[in-house]
Amino acid sequence: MTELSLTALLLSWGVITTFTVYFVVRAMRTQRDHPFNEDEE
Amino acid sequence: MSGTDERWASRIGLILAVAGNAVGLGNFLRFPAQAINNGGGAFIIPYLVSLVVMGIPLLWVEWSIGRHGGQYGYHSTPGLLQALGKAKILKYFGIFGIFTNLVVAAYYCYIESWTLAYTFFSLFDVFNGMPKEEVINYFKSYLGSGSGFFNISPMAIFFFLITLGLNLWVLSRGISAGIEKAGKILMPMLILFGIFLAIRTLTIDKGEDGAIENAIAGLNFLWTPQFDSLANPKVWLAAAGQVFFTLSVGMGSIHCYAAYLRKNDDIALNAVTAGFMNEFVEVVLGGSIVIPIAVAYLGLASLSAFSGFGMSFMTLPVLFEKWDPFLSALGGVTWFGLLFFAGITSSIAMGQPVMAFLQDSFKFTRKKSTIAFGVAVFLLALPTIILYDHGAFDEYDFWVGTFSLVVFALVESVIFLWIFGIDKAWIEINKGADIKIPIVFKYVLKYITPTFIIAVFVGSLIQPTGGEWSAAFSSLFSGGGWPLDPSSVLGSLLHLGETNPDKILVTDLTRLLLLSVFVVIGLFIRYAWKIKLNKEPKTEEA
Repeated sequence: MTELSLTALLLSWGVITTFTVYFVVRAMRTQRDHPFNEDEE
Repeated sequence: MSGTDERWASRIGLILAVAGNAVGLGNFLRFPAQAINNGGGAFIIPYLVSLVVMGIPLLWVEWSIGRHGGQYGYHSTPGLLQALGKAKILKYFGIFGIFTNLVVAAYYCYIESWTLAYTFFSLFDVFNGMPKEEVINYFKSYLGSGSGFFNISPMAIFFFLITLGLNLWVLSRGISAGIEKAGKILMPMLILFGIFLAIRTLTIDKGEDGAIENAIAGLNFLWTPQFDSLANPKVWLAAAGQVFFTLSVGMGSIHCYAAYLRKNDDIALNAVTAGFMNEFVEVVLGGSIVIPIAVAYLGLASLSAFSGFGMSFMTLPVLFEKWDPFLSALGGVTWFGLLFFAGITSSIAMGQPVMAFLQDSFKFTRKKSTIAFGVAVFLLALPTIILYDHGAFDEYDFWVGTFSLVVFALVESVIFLWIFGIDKAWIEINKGADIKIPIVFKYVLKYITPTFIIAVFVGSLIQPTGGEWSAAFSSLFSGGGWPLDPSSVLGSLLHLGETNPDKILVTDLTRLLLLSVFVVIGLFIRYAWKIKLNKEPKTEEA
């Protein structure tokens, strides 16, 4: 691969994967702190 | 059980179900084609910009509309939109959310059935030793092409019925035991299959099993940035369109899923998590399978006529056959299995809003609404199956699966952000939020998101020949008129470039059928409100 296309690929994959993992982990951690769909009463 | 009593059982189940709704065949077939034709590696720049200023905000809008209306006992767009204001007409904009899901489910289940059939064909090694031409003919014969005016194929109808039956079975089990469970099982499997195929494909070396290039050359081609393309409006429109269609916004299914949340459940984080999961599957996995394998065995020249769909069913089975027998069967099963999982998690999301409308409005039981949905889908799918060669399928896809989505997204954005009001909308989006959304998005939502949707709408309406906007404006100002592309909405409406009278007849009849379905749904909504079978709407001040 050329340096340019490799940079484009790594940047794109990096940004998408980082955000995906960050949001999934954050959703799971929040779920642990206050369970989802709990009755308000 | 009435849909009103149902809830999601877990957060990950909800996120996987919504991500499954968004991840479809387009993630693997449409994205790479769009990237190649619109600037390669540079395509990701307008793509990510569109995702941030249009895609994610639209997800928040749809989740919010759903959760808000769900508190009034509504689970489909007529009621969900009516809950946003006092004007009685609001519910009629919700026709789109029923119409789109019902019609798209019909033709989408048909494509889904091809992937199921090809999973079995791969498992039983049907393509072993077949030359390329024979595989192409096999696909045509599977669709019943060339058997007279109508496409008659008992095998295609058999697999369609099996696929529809599987969809109905999942839907009949309800939100938590059906849709949520399906997402929890099928989405991880889809990602595993995708990772396996990406690794296997990207490790193909030149000379191995007849490969004429390293598979990495395909990635190199896909990701080489052509920065000059960023100045071309065509590239920005293509990126905005791709983000729009990949997230399954403008359909009414996200609203429906969100309507089963409680009023203080988070939507801000759930929406971005599901959205980014879809992006991971599209950008990382979607770009790493079809193009690299095609380049490895057919060379870079094969991409000049790249067609995701044709490549998938007519070319990939031949390419998998180049591997040893076990890997070849495994490749076919995982590829078509992956497409099937991507398809079914999307099509069940189309069933729920229609069924929820019947349950909320006419007190249908889940069983009765499942049967009604199944019958409607079967009847609507028949024209796409038996008139496939004459373009009925393409008409469904164009008017309902493409154009209606943009119209509805525009309408819902105006209703939620401008009529319901940005201040109340912002409070609604942030209620119970597990992340803090930067305040700048309040202004993005109000001004930039609708502007992007309008751009996609106008772009599709009057797209000039070849997407060459500057040439089109030059032509217009020099008195040469606007060169409409036949694939634009207006071009399609006027049958530009179409000379086959049979095709024009079928096209017009299909449009008439779709228009009739739209009107009938409107009458159902009117009837539902008139006889007050559903709850009296408790609207808020607009």
